[in-house]
Parts: sequence; C-alpha cells; structure tokens
Amino acid sequence: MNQMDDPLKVVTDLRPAVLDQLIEHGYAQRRGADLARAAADRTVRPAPARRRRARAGYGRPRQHLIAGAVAVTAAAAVIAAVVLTGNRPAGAPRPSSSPPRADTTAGQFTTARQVLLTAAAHVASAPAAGKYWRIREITGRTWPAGTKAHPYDISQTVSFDQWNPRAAGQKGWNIFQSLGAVPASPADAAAWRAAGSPATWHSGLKPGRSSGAVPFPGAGGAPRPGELSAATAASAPGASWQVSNGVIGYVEGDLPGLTAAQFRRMPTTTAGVAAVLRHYTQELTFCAEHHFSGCSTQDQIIWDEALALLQDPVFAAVRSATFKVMAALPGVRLLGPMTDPLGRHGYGLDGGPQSPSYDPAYHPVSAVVIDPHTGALLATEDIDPMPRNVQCQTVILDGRAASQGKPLIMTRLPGGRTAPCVGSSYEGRSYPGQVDSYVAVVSTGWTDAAPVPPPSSTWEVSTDLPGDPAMQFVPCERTGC
Amino acid sequence: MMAAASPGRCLVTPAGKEGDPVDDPLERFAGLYDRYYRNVLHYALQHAESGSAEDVASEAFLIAWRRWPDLPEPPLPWLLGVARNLLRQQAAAGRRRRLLAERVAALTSEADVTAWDAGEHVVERAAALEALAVLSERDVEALTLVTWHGLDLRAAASVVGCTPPAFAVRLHRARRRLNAALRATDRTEQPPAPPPAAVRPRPAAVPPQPATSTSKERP
Repeated sequence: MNQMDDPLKVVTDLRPAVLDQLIEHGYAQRRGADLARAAADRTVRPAPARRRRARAGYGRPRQHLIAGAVAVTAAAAVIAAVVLTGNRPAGAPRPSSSPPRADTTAGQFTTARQVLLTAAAHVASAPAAGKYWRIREITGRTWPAGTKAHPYDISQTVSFDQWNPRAAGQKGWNIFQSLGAVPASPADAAAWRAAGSPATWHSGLKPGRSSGAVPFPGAGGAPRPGELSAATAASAPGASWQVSNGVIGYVEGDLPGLTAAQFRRMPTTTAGVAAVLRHYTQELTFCAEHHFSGCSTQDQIIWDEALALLQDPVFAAVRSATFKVMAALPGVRLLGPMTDPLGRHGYGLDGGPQSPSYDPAYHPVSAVVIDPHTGALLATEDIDPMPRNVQCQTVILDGRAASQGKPLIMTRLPGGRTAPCVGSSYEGRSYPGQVDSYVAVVSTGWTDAAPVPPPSSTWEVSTDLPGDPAMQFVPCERTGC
Repeated sequence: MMAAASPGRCLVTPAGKEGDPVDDPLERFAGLYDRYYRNVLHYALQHAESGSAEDVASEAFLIAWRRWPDLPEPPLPWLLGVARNLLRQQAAAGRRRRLLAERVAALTSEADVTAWDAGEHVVERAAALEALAVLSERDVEALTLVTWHGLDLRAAASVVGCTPPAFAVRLHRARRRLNAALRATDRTEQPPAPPPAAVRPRPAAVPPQPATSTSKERP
C-alpha cells in the first residue's frame, strides 16, 4: 500500500496563507465601525447598571437575572397587552421626579464622608441566619419612546427576587417579573398623555421575533439604530433556578464567591474590612491583560467591592466597618439629597469615574443612593451628564422595506453621524441628569421562608453551577433568528 | 474563574465573557471582539468574498452584543454558529455561498504551493485540492472546524448544531472519504489509469448543502 497523507494534515496544509492577510485587513477595517455600532445600539444594552464590579455582590446569579430581564422584556412585548390600568404591581416604581431630584429640604450633610460615617453609625442589626439569603430588587432602563410632537422617555422595569440557599446542593431561585414600562419622569408622563397614552411600543420588530437576526444593511458596517419593545402592562412572573454550590454572595464579581460560613468570618473592624477588600483588588490581574482598557484605580475597585459587601450576608458590624472604609476613600463626591426610583429619600454619592468607555457619547455618573439614617444602600443609578441624542428606534428588517413605501427617516447617532432608518421612530427628551438605568434594592436579608416560584412552565434552568446542564448553542431554526 | 471556568470541556480558551474582568459593557464587548473577530471572519471567508465575509462577521458580533446575557461560555462556537446561520441567510438572499474548495483555489498563492512542496506530502497540492473538492461541503466543514479552527468535538458540534457523538461520526466519515479521494487522486497520478469519475471536481453549480442542524447521523 502506498504511503498516504494524513487527511487532517492535508486539510490543515491546504489553508491558503492569504487568509491571514484578509483576516487582519478585515479586523483593521471593521473594528472601529463595529464597536461604534455596538455603542449606538441600545437593543439590548449589556446592563450598564450592572457593571461588573458594581454587581459583584450580586454574584453569578446576576448573570441570570440579566438573562431573565431580557426574556421578561421580550415576553412582555409579545404579550403586548393593550389595557393600561392603574393596577401597577405593588412595589413598581412611580415616575420619578426630574433628576437631579434634589429634595427641597436643605441637606444636613455637606460631604460624602459625613453621609457615610452617619450610615456607619446607623446600620441596623438583622437576623444573622436563615435558610435563604433573599435579595429583592427592581431595575429600570430608560428608552426614548415618544413622538416628534411629544417626545418622552419610558423606563422599563423588572423586579427580581433572589433566594440564595445557605446550604450547598439546594435549589437557588431567581423569580423575576416585568413590571411594565412607565414614563420616566412626571414631565415624561405629561408628554406621554399628550401623545395619547400609548400602552405598547414597537419599533418595527414583529412580536416574538428575536432582534438578533437582522439581515444585512445596505452599507456594511454602518451603525444601526436600536430597537424598542415595551408595554405598560406587567407580565406574569418567570423564574430560573440552579443547584447551589454553597456560594451565597460575592465581594469581587471576578473572583470566586463566598459561602455563608465565609461571610460569617468576615472581620468586623474597619482595618480588617479594608484589608480584605485590598486583598481582593490584588487578585485582579486584568490591567495587565487588557491593554485596551483603562484601569480603575485600586480605590475605585474598593468602592465597588464595598457596595457589594453591603449586600452580602455579613454582620451589622461588618456593614458598619464597610461604610467607614468607604468614608476613608478619596475622591468620593456628594451629589446631594436624592430620591431613589422607589421614592425613598437618601443621599447620592459618586464614587468616581468609571473606566473609559468606547462610546464617546456615554459617560454616565454612577450614583449610589444611601440612607444615612438607616445605614441602607438604596439604589445605584447610571446618570447621563450629557444629553443623549434621540435615536431612531427602528430596525431595518430587510432590504425591501424601503421600496414598500415606508418613510425614510434619518436618525442622529452619537458622534454626529446620521443613518437612514425605515418605519416609525421614537423620540426621547434626553436631558442632563437623566437616569439611564438603575438598580433599586428593595430588601436584603436572611429568611426561613421558602420561595414560591411561578409555574414550572416559566422556569429557565440556569447553567453555570454544578448539577446544571451546560448551555448549548441554539440553532436559528429554533430561535427564529 | 477566567479560563478555569470549563476545564476539559473544550479546546477553545474560554474568555471574553463571564471570565473577562472588565467592568464596562463596551470594553467587554471590545474584549470579545478583539479575541474572536478573526476566528469568525476566518470562518466566513471560507464561504464568502471578503466584503460579504466581513459583513457576516460584523453582524455576528452585533448579535452577540445584543444577546450578551445569552452568550454561552465559551463564546466562540456560538459566534461561529451565528456566522454560519448568517451565511446561510446570505445564500438564501441570492448571494452565492462559495464552496470551500473553490475558495481555497481562488485564494491559493505561489507561497502556498512552495510551502506545500516543502512539507512532506505524497500528493501534489493541486491533487489534494481536487480530492477535497470531491467531498460534500458538510464533510469539508467538519474537517476545517477541527483543523483550521482547532475546535474540539464538543465545540465543533455546537457550531453545526448537532451532538458531539454525531459530529464525531461526521468527522470520521469525512476523513474516510477524503482518504479515499486522496488515494483515488494519487492513483490518477500514475499514468496508465484513467481518472475515475469520482475524482472529477464537483461542478460549481452543485448547490451547497446546508447541513440541517437537527439531523443526527447514525454510524
């Protein structure tokens, strides 16, 4: 028998070398436009309110919460109930007053340090044990949703109820519910009423159709505007679960989480907590690995870790010490008295600039609202210091749309570019200080109660803890993309 | 977490998403882009001209951005699967999906021939390409996913949307068929024997075979 080539080696060696040049050329040509296009695309913003370290305390389950949020939003859009009633679910946020939403009462605090030290002195004790560490939150995200004549913004809100079991091997639950979209502020509410109080918003997406499968635009690499699917009606709750590996919270979301026992051993002194947080910052190596990213300073990372720790199952003394660590950090600004998205009074603090963004038009201030009199972390909010330009909220579903007699609308995109879009467009009233997204903490604490999940038909099995099946790529045939 | 997130699950280094410790969403997206854009474009270039291939790769990343929370770990098989679907849509829209052997022939340069000759091969490069052209696109895809893209069975299976065992069978058959084609081609290099019909290059008009992602092969 003749000596033969190994088929796999043949295939390997048949690969034309010019591919590498074409690849590098494409990468160099497309990168800038592709990143800009992502920046301009708000279809599914990857949760700016959940910047990685800011959500460290929420830990891995947060990843599922985000998925849940998207799923719920989609579900709400599909259901598209047209009835607008006054029956907003309990706990749903009212339209907030216009940012900066300063209270009219004169603030008694003049520095961030005063707020934090007062909070440290008022941390409430709470039960130190239970079957579940329960975290309830409401999140919101702002979208332009009005018309040219009546521009306004809406806030899409989703509630999350996270039940983290103390013991490994038990099911942890995330129960989520879209609470529906509400006008983002009283001024937005007025414009919304003037526009006829629409109950649904759709920007060209067919109900139920995934936004992920947009065929090709005319010009390759041109920025494409975002899409909006929202309804005022709340959706039925959904849930996801996972078998716990004992991890119950995080101090630094990029590092392994801690068990309830580990949190109980957390030092209670200010120096002790500071040492723990500093230790975690040293575990992070991303500055060396990501040359393209500006790096947060150690103080900024500690600030984020402290916010996480405030939501972890630690003793009140640890919480108190954490506030003192935060008070000692330089560069923390007092934004003033603020009302959080749930209408609770507190003080806004700015922990400092986040790492640079690729979107030149998006540099949100990350405000943290703290109630110094109860020692409670109320909310984190991303606030636009710059007016965010109105975006066309229409997607080009296919190349035929333009020839079907639909109007061609030019839309402004960040950076002054324009792009054509087809169909209806939503106009917002962006203004300095607008809250782009928020996470409001409803409550955190130990409980012996048991979660009451919605029907199993709504469950989504989470994937990244032991005992769960691995996530598979879902072919387009099944997702409709 | 980082790369340790899925030990032994896949040859692809998991990174860019869950394990990527950068806090800005766009930076994380840029990280994913920088890490995998070349892989996705590479795949698209196998079936489309540069411009179209770049469109496909760009589109795949926009989809990744929009579906960030759904992105599995590791992300590369998912990204390639998206690109694959987009290529199929392109083909459906009348933009011709090129056969791989055709693309290789079009992209071959003098340097490739020189490199081939320097390698230890029994057959000529042109003959090897001819043998590859005999295979179905489904076979060629299986072979390139594990060679050019370095994917393991699990990752490659998720690109084409079948189970790892089914993909293993597909790969095994593709190897066997290529082996047979190489032998046949090799024989044709010996002057007396006329080329068997099987080694005729596929007519370009043969439509690409969109491997149905739900199909399961039986050994």
